[in-house]
Amino acid sequence: MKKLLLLFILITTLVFGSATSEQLRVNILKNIIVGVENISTKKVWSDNEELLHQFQNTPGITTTQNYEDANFLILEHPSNFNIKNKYVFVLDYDLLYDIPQSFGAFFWKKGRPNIVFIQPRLEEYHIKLAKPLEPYIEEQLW
Amino acid sequence: MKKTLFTLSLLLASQLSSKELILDDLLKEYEQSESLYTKTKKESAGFLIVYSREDLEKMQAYTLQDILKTIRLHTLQVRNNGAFSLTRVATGRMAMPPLKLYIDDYEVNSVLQSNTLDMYANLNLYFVDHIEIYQGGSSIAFGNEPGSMVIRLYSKDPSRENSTSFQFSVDSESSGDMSALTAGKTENFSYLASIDVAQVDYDTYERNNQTLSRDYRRYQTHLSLTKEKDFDFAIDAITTTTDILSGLGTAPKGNDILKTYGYIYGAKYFAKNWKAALSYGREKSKIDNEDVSPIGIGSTHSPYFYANIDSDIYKAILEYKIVNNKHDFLTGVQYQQKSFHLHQYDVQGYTPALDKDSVDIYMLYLEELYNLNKNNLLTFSGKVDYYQPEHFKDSTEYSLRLGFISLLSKEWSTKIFAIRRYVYPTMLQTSITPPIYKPNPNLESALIDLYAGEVQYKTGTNTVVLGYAYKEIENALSFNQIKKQYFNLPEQKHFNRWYIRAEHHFDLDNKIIMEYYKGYADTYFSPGSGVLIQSFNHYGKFNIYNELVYRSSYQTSTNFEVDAGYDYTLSLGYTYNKQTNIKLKGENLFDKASLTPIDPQGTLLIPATQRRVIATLEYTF
Repeated sequence: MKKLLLLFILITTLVFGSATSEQLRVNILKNIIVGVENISTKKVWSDNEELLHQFQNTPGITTTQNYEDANFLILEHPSNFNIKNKYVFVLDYDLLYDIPQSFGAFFWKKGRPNIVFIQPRLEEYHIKLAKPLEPYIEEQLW
Repeated sequence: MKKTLFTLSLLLASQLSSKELILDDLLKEYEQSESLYTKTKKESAGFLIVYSREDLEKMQAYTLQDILKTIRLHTLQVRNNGAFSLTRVATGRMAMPPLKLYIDDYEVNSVLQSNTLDMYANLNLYFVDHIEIYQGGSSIAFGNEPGSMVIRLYSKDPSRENSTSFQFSVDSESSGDMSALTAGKTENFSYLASIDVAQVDYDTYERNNQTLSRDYRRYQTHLSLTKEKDFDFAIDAITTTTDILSGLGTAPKGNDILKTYGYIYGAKYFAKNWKAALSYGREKSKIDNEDVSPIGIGSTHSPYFYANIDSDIYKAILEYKIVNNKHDFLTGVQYQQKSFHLHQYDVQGYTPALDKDSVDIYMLYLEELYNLNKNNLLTFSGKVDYYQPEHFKDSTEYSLRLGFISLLSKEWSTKIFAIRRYVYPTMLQTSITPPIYKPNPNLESALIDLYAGEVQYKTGTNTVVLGYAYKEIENALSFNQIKKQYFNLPEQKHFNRWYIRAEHHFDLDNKIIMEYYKGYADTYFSPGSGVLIQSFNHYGKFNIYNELVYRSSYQTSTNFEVDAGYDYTLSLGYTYNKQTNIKLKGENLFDKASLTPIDPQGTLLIPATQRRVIATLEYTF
């Protein structure tokens, strides 16, 4: 059912191709969140307040205003707080170096948006990705 | 339920050949929606042609000339000294159309060239993200002196680069080009640094036992530091050394022209939409020309001509903007000083009248964009420029621009502009003693009335644009071949031109553009009509680009016919992996591009674009 939900999100975003840039960004991140399959209930928090606001009312995703209550963090900046036992996805490639617990990133490089998941970290944190996300897995950091 | 789910999944599977591709498409759509041109383009500023980053990459546009040759209503030609010249429909090569070139917010204006493109056509585009071209009388809000067409180059956004990359090209003429770019962001600012070194070779020609060559060497750099809504700082420099082709005479003894242009630009953004900018530009032109036959210079003949000229351009700009639901109001003042200094002018039997000259320009401008309602926009622009030349009389010039932009329906829209502007004679026409003609200090500004309109029909995947312009010129600046001097035409000149452009998007990656234009004038000294066909395609890891540029036959000012020509270009790009791109490009593959006569008799006809095949390797860290 999760796979179907992921496909549904993908298709609706394609069908309604005139979505705004911000909607497209949110949809890409939705696909990533939904595509992490081994977390039954995701409680998402982000240090990007606008993004957090847009995640609200998204099917399959529950947001929280308090990072301590969250189990899935989407971070745009380096964090000083305790992220133990949380799944961390980042919005800047360099944060993969700064936050060793992060398992993937959505970022701009050479004028293009990119998605990457780091295989050793997926294994270390026992993260299983849906099939559509597998092509973005890389063996190591650049 | 199971059956329904199964049917649904089958339906999904049939629509989507691969799940992975779907997210790729979403990323592609996001990339396109985030294209920088969507943030910088200004629809109210004229009739707009955009070359997005994706377009430039598929085209493999290495230098600005790759773009210039495709611009409607213009033909890329070659000057006698090997430089490029962008000639407007029906006008001759001696015309100096006020084409304006911007790199980000800096206008690269030249004192020593007929217009900046004489030199910047050779500009390497590796640091450029996208290009916007405004026709139909450019917006006064761009500041500076008014121009007939504005070409704006926008550098890559460091926050989207986050990389260092190298590009190396070689071609079938034994040319080589090496570019490097690094860009990224720190906590306090973004940075971009690029360099380029090139040796570009062309076919050579023989005359009077001399080899005529237009090979050139180029060194180029662009550096910028920016902080959004805080400051911009840029340094740019380009130096080219060009073999002089036929030079000022008929058969030069292997001489060249050194041209250098550099500028430093800083802008500060203050609260409440105030902006202040300061800049300094320096230009150098060094000509060595010795000929087997005496060169006609002014009223004398000399076996040689050596010149070394510098120019300085200072600018100070202050702008203020008010934006609310109904209004978008901009006002600004600008001070500009342009000067030249003749360090060497060595001609047998001739001494120039002036060894230096300068002009101070004080400008005041405003532009109001007023939303009548959500579908209709009215624009009004006004500009007053006070010119204070060092040696000649002062003058005050005015520009006015009225515009109406309307979304007539979901598919139809229109833009209409009425413009009164002027073209102030350049120092190259009035005071710098040019090598092949006499300066005319009595030149007055040409006054132009332009009425232009564009109608657009747009559906989800198709866009058709029809444009028309009518222009009247009083005091037109024209070159007299017999007197060897620019002068103001006593009679009023009229021009008509129209174009049609159709664009079809097959999907996010594939599109085709077709365009036709025609100009109507009393006399034609360059192609009067042209066609452009561009096909942008992407299959798997391949980018494929096809281009056909056609220009009609024309008669030169010395009354001989130059045949029509077409330039076919094919570009193939292959993404080997995330770091490596391999590219192959064939320019003017059938060697049938429109030709330019280098001498009055037309014994030497040269295409602006040399037939060549370019192989390129790009690597990104």
